[in-house]
Amino acid sequence: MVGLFLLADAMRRGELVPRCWWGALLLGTGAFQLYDGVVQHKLLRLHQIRYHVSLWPYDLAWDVVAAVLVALGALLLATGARASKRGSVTAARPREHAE
Amino acid sequence: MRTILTLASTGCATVAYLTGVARLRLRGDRWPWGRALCTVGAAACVAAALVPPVVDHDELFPVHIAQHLLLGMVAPMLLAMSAPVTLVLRATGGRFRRGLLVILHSRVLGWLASPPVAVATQAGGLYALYLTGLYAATERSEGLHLVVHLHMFLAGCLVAWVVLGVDPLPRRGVAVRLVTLALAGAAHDTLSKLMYAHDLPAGGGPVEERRLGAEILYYGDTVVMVAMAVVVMAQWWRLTGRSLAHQARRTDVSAALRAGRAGRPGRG
Repeated sequence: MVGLFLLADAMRRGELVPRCWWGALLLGTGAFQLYDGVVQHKLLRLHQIRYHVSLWPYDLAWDVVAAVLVALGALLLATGARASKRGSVTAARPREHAE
Repeated sequence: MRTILTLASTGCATVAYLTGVARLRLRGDRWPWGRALCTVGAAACVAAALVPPVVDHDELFPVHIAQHLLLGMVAPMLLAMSAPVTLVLRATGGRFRRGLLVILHSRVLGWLASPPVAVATQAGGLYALYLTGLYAATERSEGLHLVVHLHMFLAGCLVAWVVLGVDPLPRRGVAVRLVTLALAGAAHDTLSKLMYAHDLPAGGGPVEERRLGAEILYYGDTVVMVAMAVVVMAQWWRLTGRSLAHQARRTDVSAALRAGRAGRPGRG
């Protein structure tokens, strides 16, 4: 909720770099899913994806998806940051504010 | 008798608030109607929690929890949003106003209204009530029951006042207020999970009722906490928007000045 307000603020300042935003979103989602899959499912055994079946295909798919999300997010974040730095002369200029 | 007393006191408080608003308006001052609406809502919440049908069934644990949410969470939030202290400071004068200012600036209130003390006062009371034998004791003693309700309401007000920061208690930054809110929320979430896991409080009736109560507490509390976070962020949004508009106007003026100087080089 706080994040949505911050996003709206970045948009109204004209400082939002969409690629960075998507990158950070995917990175955060993936990191949490990886933590959930490794720490909560395997180390703490708090809850499982399914019960009474062989678990490893589900766990594997879960953690691979998480890793892909993390990698994709990091890539987007890095390229987005570089692109915005290169274009900083135009990106830093705030959008005109309607009165 | 208790019903009449409750309705009379909440009614009087609402009328006093609206009288203050009327006094400001007649003088030509502005006072947002939304705040007046919040007061009416807060009075309605307190009244709903303390008159029938709710009060007739508050020996049932889920009903007690609903009462708790109204009295200790929703009503304080609405009351803090209605800025009653600011209203009193603006609508009154003389000795009364000076006395209120002395209280507001007192060290005791400053200490009580510091975020850790406010959160600990509320959470401590709730943990003591639901995790010890206190809840069972309130069912036997009417006086103790009243004290617990009063503490619930006042501690809720303390937290709501610190987090929402509308009235001029020592004001805190947005980050401090959000952290305070998160800590209070975490304390409540942990409490409701402890209650669910250990079938507490003792004296809360059958296990299903205790669990239902814990669930209502968990989800109801989350809704109120998110609502408070929305209020804090909306305040921040409006405030930063104002300073952005101010900045934009200033750059516009300096750009216009520069353009004017460049356009008329021979003058001056």
